Amino acid sequence: MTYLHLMALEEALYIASIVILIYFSALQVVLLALTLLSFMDMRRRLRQNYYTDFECMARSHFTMPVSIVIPAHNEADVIVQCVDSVLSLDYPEFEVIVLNDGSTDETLSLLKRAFRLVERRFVYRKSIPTGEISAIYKSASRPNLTVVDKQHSGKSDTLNIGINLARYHLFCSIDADSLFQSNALLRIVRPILESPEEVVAVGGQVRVANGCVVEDNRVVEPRLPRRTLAAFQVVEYLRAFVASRLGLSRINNLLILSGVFALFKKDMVIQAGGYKANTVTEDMELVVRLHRFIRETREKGQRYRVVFLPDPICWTEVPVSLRNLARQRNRWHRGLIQSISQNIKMLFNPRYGSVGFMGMPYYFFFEMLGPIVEFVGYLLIPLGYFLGILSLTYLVTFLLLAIVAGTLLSTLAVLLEEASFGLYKGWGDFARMMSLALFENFGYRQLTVLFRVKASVDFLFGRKDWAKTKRESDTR
Amino acid sequence: MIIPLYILYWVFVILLFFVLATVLAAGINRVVSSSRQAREKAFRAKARELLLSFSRETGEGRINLLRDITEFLTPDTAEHVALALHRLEPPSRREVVELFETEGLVSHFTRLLKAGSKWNRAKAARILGELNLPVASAALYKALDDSDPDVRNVAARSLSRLRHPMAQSVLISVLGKHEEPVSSRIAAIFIEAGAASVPLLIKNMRNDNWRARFWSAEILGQVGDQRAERVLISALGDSSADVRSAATKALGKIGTGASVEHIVPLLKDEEWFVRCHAAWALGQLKAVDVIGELAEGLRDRSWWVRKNALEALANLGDSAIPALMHALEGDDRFARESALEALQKLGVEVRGSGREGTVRAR
Repeated sequence: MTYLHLMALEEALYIASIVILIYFSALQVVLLALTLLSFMDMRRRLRQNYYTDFECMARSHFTMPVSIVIPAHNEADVIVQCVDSVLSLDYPEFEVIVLNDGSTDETLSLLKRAFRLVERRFVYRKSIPTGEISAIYKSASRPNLTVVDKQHSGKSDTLNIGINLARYHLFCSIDADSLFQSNALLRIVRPILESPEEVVAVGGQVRVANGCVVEDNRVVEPRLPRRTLAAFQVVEYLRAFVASRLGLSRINNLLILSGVFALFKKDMVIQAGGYKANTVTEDMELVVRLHRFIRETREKGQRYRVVFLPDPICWTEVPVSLRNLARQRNRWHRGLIQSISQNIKMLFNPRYGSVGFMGMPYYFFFEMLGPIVEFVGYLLIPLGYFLGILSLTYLVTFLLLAIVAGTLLSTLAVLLEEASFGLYKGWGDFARMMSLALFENFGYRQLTVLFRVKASVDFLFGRKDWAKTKRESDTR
Repeated sequence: MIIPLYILYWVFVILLFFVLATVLAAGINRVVSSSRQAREKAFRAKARELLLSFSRETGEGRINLLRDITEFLTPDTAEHVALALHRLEPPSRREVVELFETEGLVSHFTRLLKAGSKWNRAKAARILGELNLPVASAALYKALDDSDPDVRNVAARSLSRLRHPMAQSVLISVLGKHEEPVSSRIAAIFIEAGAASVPLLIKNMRNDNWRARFWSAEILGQVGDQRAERVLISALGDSSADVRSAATKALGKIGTGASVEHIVPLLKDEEWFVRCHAAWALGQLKAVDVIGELAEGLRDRSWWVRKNALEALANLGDSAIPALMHALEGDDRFARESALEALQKLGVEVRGSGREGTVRAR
């Protein structure tokens, strides 16, 4: 390599490192600001809960009824427990609609046996266009349970059928492999009861069930997973849900509500066209489209809110093998890119107000492009060292800086969890969470960056499959 | 050098400082919150223990316990004592509540309810509600107009516990004035009062505010007292669709045959939710004379109206069979399918229909 080449490379590295540093600083500032907002909101929410009489809500004639929609594709391992757990929720009036999405396992027959299902004649009205239904069953033992059998048509279409069949004005989508607190539904419906005109959707917090002690389909003792890969995800979920989403919700710029546990106003979702077919992450796509639809059609001065709540907690199993984690993250990131790119006209568009200038840029620059910038950083800095442009001291300092910045966000999320719920009681779990917050920066974080970079490449090459992860239960 | 090393170094040091501070804060928070939780738990247990012993003891022991409760009672512990009061029989309860008054805690919390910080106002509202003192009710009524929704909510909840004879006459004046949770809490007070609240609610159906009329109709339906039938029938012609809808629903629950002829015109109301409730109410009232009108409802442009008309017809039993059979031959596919479903609900076996391929019985 000639001297001139080296000069040009040094110049390029200089510009790249400036860009990375600016990006990195901006990201840290934004994430810290969101965490601060989360701290403020969490404090308010917890006080509100202290003064809320959930028992009274559970008995009230005026608590709005809810339709719970559970799509199930090959969920034989968990479906009966899940339906049992949902049917025993503490709520005055609700119905449960389980949609068997062409399962090839025992899902339907197990449901038939467990809940004494009887086939019914039906009239099916398609408020949202969907595929056809094969059969509808009502339970002889649980009058508020309906089971629908249909050909496999994907999660979006299945959810849309659930919406079409829902009797009530609110519907709650949940995953079949999740566990709930008994008053989770009362808690998630609260913002709509308080502001029925304004709130259009509410999301609950998703926590890692691996390692927890479960009795009668309820998590009775939250514990950290024994397997390190799952334990890293506990800290990651805290960062994503408790720290980031709560902050975004406070400024009404939240573009993701996890489909694992989310409540929607049915008429609003129907007007927006329901879940979109051929999407990789239908939950994010719907929320982005709801924002877009409402901002395009609302009357002047009409307010709306998409709310995230930290206290309705839903527990879900996370992948414990690298292969499944890679598939899950790949799908999530492709879904994110797809949702953003399909609604890219919202970016910096004054018509979409704060979502156009804060929410969309946040997801576009930090969530979507973040892994690529981080990946480039990981390549460029060592490259500079090997080419003799950077000193070893510089390389080490830069890497330490990246590590400590990542650790800060994770420890803040743990602090927020400690100051609010404090679910993990033992000092051993506390020490482990703090060490996970540090050690996730040595390998785990880079690994998830790689998964997401691969997802970006896959997206560019047109990969659109759903890539379901295989269940790996390790609850106690 | 690309970026001066010392800048990276200082950023690193600052971030590291924050990491350590965060870890330390989390650790301190864990210690502090567990000791706070332990203290609260101890307060709760002690309050419960004192009150239980007080309820059992007599004579000298009782006087001593009253002294112990007085010593224990401070603004910090008052909430725990107040929340444990429901464990006492009325005479013992009265004695302890008197302590709150003599110790100046009632006036302390009444002041706090007016001028404290948001959460202190909420706390004061909660304690005053538990004390169930007429002197506190005026402050709680005022708190319904608090600038903060959480305080209003707690005040409504406290008022619902008061069961004060004056409560209803005051609360009726604010019915429908507040947001949904507060209004539904106030409504629950009237529902719990049952028949005693009916005259007030009937009178309130003449209120100028449509929200007040709406909530009154809702409550009258829940209370289920037939004295309200006449006023609810008058409300069927209300200018507000919400009131018409609530009145129709209420008549479906408490009405008699006399209501039917007044509800029928609402099957043609301009608002779908009024038509929908009218169909439901007619089914509940077993209005066999209006089967034709209900069968018309099967062709309504709103799905909910068609659904309720169908369920109403199924509710009417065998008398509805001819109308449903007739609907099987109509042009509207949904009406045909709905009629088929209703007939099957009534146990009629239908094999095919005039329109092969569109309606089939299994």
